[in-house]
Amino acid sequence: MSAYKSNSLFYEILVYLMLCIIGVSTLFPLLWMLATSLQDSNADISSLKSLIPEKLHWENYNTVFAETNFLRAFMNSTFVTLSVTVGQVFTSSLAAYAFARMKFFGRDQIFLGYLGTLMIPGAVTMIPTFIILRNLDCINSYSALILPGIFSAYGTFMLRQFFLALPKDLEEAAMIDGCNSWLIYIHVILPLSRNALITLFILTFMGSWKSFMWPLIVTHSSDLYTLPIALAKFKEMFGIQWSLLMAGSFIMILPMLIIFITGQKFFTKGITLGAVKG
Amino acid sequence: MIRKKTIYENLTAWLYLLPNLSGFLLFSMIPVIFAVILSFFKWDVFNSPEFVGLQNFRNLLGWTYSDGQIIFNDPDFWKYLYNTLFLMMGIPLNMLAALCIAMLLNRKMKGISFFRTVFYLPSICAGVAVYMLWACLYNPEYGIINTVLGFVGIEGPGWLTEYEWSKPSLMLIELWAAMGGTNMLLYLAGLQGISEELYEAAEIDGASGFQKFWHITVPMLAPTNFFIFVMSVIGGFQGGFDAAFILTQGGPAGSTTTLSYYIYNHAFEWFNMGYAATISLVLFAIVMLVTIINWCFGGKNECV
Amino acid sequence: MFRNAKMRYKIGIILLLTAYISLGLYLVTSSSSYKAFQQRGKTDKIKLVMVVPAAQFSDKIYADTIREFEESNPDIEVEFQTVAGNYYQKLLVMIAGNISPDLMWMGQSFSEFADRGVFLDITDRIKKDPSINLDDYQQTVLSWYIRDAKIYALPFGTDIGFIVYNKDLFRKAGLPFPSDEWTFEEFLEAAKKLASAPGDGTPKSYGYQGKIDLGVFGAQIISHDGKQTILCSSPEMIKYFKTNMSMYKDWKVTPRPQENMMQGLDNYSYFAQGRTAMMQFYTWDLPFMQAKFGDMDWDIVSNPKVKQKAQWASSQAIVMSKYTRHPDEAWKLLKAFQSREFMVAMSYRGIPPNLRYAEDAVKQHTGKPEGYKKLLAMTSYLSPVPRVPHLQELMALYYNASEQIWAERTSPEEAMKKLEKEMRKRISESTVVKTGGDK
Repeated sequence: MSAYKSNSLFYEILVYLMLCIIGVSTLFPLLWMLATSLQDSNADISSLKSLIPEKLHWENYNTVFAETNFLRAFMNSTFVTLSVTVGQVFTSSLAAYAFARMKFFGRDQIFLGYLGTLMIPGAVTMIPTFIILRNLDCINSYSALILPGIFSAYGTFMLRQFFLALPKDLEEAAMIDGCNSWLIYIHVILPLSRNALITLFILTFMGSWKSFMWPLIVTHSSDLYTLPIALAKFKEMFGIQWSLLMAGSFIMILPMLIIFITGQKFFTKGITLGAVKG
Repeated sequence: MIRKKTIYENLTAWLYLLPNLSGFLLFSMIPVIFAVILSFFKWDVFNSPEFVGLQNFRNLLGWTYSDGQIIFNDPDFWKYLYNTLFLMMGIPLNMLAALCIAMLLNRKMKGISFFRTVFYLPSICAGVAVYMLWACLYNPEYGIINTVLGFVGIEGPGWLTEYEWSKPSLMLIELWAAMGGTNMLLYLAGLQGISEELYEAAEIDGASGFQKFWHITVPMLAPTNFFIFVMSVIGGFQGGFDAAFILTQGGPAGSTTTLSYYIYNHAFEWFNMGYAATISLVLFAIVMLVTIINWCFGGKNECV
Repeated sequence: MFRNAKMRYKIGIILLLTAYISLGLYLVTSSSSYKAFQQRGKTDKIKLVMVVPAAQFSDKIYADTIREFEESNPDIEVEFQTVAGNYYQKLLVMIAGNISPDLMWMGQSFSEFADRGVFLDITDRIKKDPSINLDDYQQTVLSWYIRDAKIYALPFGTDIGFIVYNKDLFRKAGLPFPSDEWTFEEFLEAAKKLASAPGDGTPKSYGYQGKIDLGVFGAQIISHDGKQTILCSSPEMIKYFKTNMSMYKDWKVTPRPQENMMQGLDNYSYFAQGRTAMMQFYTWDLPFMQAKFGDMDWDIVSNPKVKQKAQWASSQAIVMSKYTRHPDEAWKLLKAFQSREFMVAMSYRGIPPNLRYAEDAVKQHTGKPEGYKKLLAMTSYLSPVPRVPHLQELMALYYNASEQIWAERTSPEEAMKKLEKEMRKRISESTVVKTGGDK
């Protein structure tokens, strides 16, 4: 596979060296975050020495949970993100299935509409969506956080591209066996598109977990804060206490790391779907 | 008989489509139409809306000419548009970095998948947590970046507080977060899709490494390039809110306020809903225009 | 084997689903909006919602007052919410989102809300109530809450800006402690000497940190008389900018604004580490200062006089929403925040506008700052925040313009001329009815 064949040892070492340099520059800030989160709150963090804290202050993590509503925010984030993610994967795959495998009146026009909305900046829909939710009396509730995130043109588009590329033989065989479209969807399409579904799952999960602007607009009571909001408020309320702030930040990125590392195998395969035809 | 089947098929298809389509209508289509209507009104949510015709557009885009100089009706809008474009200059840089990393990773060596995972990590973490982290690193007083610069005798600037440095600082965060991310994986897939034979044929013709890169890799990656560029540009026009909100509050002197921040301010800080909708529509028009231009010059048949 | 794996898979999914649903149920049912929804039908207890900005020290005082109120009024239940972050913006979103609280805290953005007509007029209630005597209040502060002869709020604290100085550094530099009557020249001389005096081993130490308030120059951004005249390009304003620029450019007694602690130390550590001998602080900083300055020797002094004496000022009040469904109960609760106990308890972060209580607060004060009683005298020289409908929007414009000046990207004259034009445009275009408040 490699484009540049060169067996010289020197060349290989050079490549490793470059990889290591890039690796260090990507990892260093993250390690710094972890190290700072374990520092004593009054420690001097201006020198490289503090990359290895003298004593590990795990109690910083306790303090974060004890002094703020961080646990609640964590649970809110989990709930909202899971709802958005599962909802989006589900609705998108249903719609994508219809677009890819069924003939119906207005299909191409609607799909063109979907494609068009990929270009619409979030800022355009943000204001009207706020007003719509306000008229539904949904501001400052979980539905305001979850509902607008469930429907995604991008997910539909990506899955449709994938479904189109699936071989039709299995479906035809299932059809002969007397399966209706729902059973085909459940038993044939979904298992075959594991990579695509997991990729969409991870992408949506990360997008929703990080989402900052929308929760900032539609929530205000502290029992609805999601993690990003809680973290931003944390800085405002307790001033700059880097060790606690970094502990909070680390708590925030941990689930994303776990999700990514578990789903990595499928993700790296699935990410290129829907982007470029190979 | 046939008609009955068609109706049945139509019905099933619509049933599958319904959950997504209803949300799509409620949270994408209707809002767009709503935004267009809103842009002809002046509305602060508390009082009833007032129809003002094209006043919002005139206030936003209009200018007057006096004393040999153009005076814009809303100079801030142009300034923030400039900021947005300035921050988007990071896109080619990010793409180049992603391509370089992808080329480094595109070989069979031990530990490659480990490196791929490591490079991808920053883009997973991006978000408020990462901005907090960089606020710590950039700190002029005891941030590690200035400390390290101090070793080589450079007195680091106030990264986020100096007018000249604030935008490059944000671009650097973006570069760090994005270079090993999704774009890199796309490039990697693109590189792996290039047939080995092409390179072998070129080698027989005596092509140098650079020639191979320029005449084989670059053209073969054109679709990938195009896709990444279009998506980044669309994203770039909308971006910049989270980082600016957390790190600089749009400052110093408005140097990191992007259009999406400006829309947020008008809509949810100052409650000029109509005006904010107008800005967002102009932003939409710009994005559409740029995408169409990209399409005409760049890709046509190269993308999906 | 295969079947077993599939079973396990199914059980796993079911377990996850159960966990997810129970998490959802727990979160939804325990959230305040759901509770409010549930309580909508019940009539046995009247529920009031009150919102204040979150602050470490004041939360408890509010909560105590509310608890006492609930004990003496068993038929009323108060839901007390604190909002962290940009309070006014959040509150506007709440009201815009049809979830206005019954009572809310108000500070300098009072007019912004009053002009949108979201407050309840309480003039009649005050007149009928024997326990409230308007003559006890400081009239300037009270007048901020009056529109067209209608009163919308009663203040419970006056916020003031003042200078805090480090006595040790003054002693080291051989300087006498400043007096409240000092002039700008005296201030500058002291600042220069202090800037050269070494701090506590730190490389850079300054004489002063902050800006000399524009009030002492006689400058106003927008006139205080309620007529909304824009004065930002007045000679006084230009002098304010030029003097403050000279402070870091020519005299080098303050750090450059770009070097400020925006991302660096918090204000308290900056002062506590001896980086500066004098610094601008506000009344709401007092509890933090007491906590963080530890065994330092410090005191407060008024701003130096340039053209006149002036202290930056704002004030705090609890205001009733026009949308409240229980105005009588809300009024009862509002009065609890006009009590002597509450005002004195809050006096650590703002002088009570009720002058009788203010004297009690001064009498009860112990410890640092020794010059606490000076604050009471300072309330005679208030230089208030402008009161205009679009305060946040106009102030954002102003801050943007002034940041450009501090960054030396434009001259004060030019920036202020532009700003004046822009402000005039925004005010004339505002949909807010200027005399509004009770439509």
